[in-house]
Amino acid sequence: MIAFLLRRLVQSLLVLLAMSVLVFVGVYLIGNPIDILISSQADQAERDRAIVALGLDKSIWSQYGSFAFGALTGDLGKSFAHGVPALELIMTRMPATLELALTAMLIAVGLGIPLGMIAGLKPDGFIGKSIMAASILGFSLPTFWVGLMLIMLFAVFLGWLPSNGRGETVDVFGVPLSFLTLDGLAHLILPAVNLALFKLSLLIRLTRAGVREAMAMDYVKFARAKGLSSTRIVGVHVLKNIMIPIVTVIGLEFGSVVAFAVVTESVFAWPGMGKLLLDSINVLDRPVIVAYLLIIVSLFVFINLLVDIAYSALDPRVRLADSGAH
Amino acid sequence: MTTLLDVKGLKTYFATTLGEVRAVDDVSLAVAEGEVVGLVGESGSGKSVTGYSLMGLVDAPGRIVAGSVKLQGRELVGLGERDWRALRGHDIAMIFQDPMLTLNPVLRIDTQIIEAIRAHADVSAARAREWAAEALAGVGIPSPADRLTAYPHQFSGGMRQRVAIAIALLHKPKLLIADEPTTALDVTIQGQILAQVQTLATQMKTSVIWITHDLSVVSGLANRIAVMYAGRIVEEGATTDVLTNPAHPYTRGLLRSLPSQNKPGETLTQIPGAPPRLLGERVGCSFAPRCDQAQVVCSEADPDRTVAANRAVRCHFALREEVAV
Repeated sequence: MIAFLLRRLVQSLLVLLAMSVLVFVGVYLIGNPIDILISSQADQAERDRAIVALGLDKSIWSQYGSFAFGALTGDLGKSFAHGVPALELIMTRMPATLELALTAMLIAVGLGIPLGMIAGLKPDGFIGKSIMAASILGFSLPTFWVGLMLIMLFAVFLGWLPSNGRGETVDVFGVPLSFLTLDGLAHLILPAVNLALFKLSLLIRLTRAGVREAMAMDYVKFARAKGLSSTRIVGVHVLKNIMIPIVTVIGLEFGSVVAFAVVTESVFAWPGMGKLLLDSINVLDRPVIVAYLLIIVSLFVFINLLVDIAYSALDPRVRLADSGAH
Repeated sequence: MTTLLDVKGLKTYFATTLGEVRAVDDVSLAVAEGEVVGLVGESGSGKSVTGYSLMGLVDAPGRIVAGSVKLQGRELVGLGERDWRALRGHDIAMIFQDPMLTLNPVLRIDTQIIEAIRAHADVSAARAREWAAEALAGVGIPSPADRLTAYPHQFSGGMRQRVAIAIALLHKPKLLIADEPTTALDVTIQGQILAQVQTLATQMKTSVIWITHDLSVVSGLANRIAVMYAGRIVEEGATTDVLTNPAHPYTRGLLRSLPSQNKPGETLTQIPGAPPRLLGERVGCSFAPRCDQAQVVCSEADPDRTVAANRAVRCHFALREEVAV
């Protein structure tokens, strides 16, 4: 177990290193942030001062060197545009994104697994077919368009729910949270549903396929031959077997929900990290971009670790030492 | 001997897009208390579906369309799911072919045994555990109390089949349906499992229907043999009678196909052709196209089940003198 964790840690550090080099060089190639940050009326002396102040006069490698050195001490540099540490900037926006992503995942898992099980147990019934038809829509409609339609319907025509911002928040240990107030919850519903829709459809289809496969297995027939109730067969024998692929997908998808909340955050003006990233890319604010990606990669690595640990809990045949290879 | 199970005219059909497949077509079979019956046939002859029908485990698109299954006089066809559940694992138990697949891979052995105990008996957790350990000991698993916490993949194939047998026999069922439980195992293990089931069934006075494609497996085990072909029992009788004096040409073919019946170096005999598709109307004897003794009547009229001298056969020429070739 410890060897597994150590190997994982080393692998993760290598991934972070490679990723930071790529992003650093990539942003350097796209353009010069000075052109965007300094007004065109500024004279050459002013330009030079700004260039020196941001450390852009040094070669790319020495810039990377000082960034990497800083990163080791937890300093990811200051935002070019805002002048505050990039990490701090991201951290103030992160709770909003995490709250949105977690709520979306909760909706997707809480509805997706039961609906998928119903569709899997009664594949030819009306309900089963309706669930599958709905999931095709959830799959194929573009997120931003669904978001716009949700706003049109619930905010504009019906006027039931607000369409932008986080609403009223409550500070819990210094972290502002929306879902604890009624107003905040009302603001959270539409973006969370929008973000959840694709994952919900994915989980429905995955669960349905898993249930259908498991129901045909001999162990289900044997369990029935033992005289067990169908509740026990489906709830224990089948569910525990299909949880293995589902947990993988939930893990991967949670990472992607956090990383790609960008679209939903823009549509609903949700003040999260995704919106910050878009703004930062527009002004080539390299420290923020790099810091954001480092955080997202760390999140992915962490989630994958949790998934691997969940595997060994779910499937007795999996030993963690063997799964470290990929 | 009193009759335990009485199957009459059982028909289990499967609805497919091509029409109805008659997997089990007019099967009649009686099993006496404590008796071991071998149900022998090729793959696709309907022997497993017969087993499932007796357990109420035929799934859509299959269904029992006609016939009666009586267990100690109680009609089972048309029973509700709740009644079936009370019956399964308690009065009728079943073990399956592949022990790698019958135990749930992600649940511990104790979970899988104890849930079967508590499905039919209201006992404390401690007593259930004790019972589970006794059941494992009963099928010859060493240090059963420790093995309870193991997962199926930590057992060998033979040991897993023993666990499955232990589960099936937990409640001393009246009837055990064994669906080729030794087919996936090594020959030596096969012998051990056969002996184990034989001993336990005798102890518990459990009747056994042993489904197999292998005549040699049941020859030493069964009191009676029923040979299935194309969804029907074509010949049924006492084991020694059927093996030494087969009345149906198909049984004779099966016996001749056994390698042990051959002299070394001699070419093996085989039954020509393949089993028929079980779709559509039955015209004449299903075995006629492969039968070396078929006459005109065989392809025109479906032979009835004729019973004589403790033998039931479905063949126009069965109980007469062999037709001159």
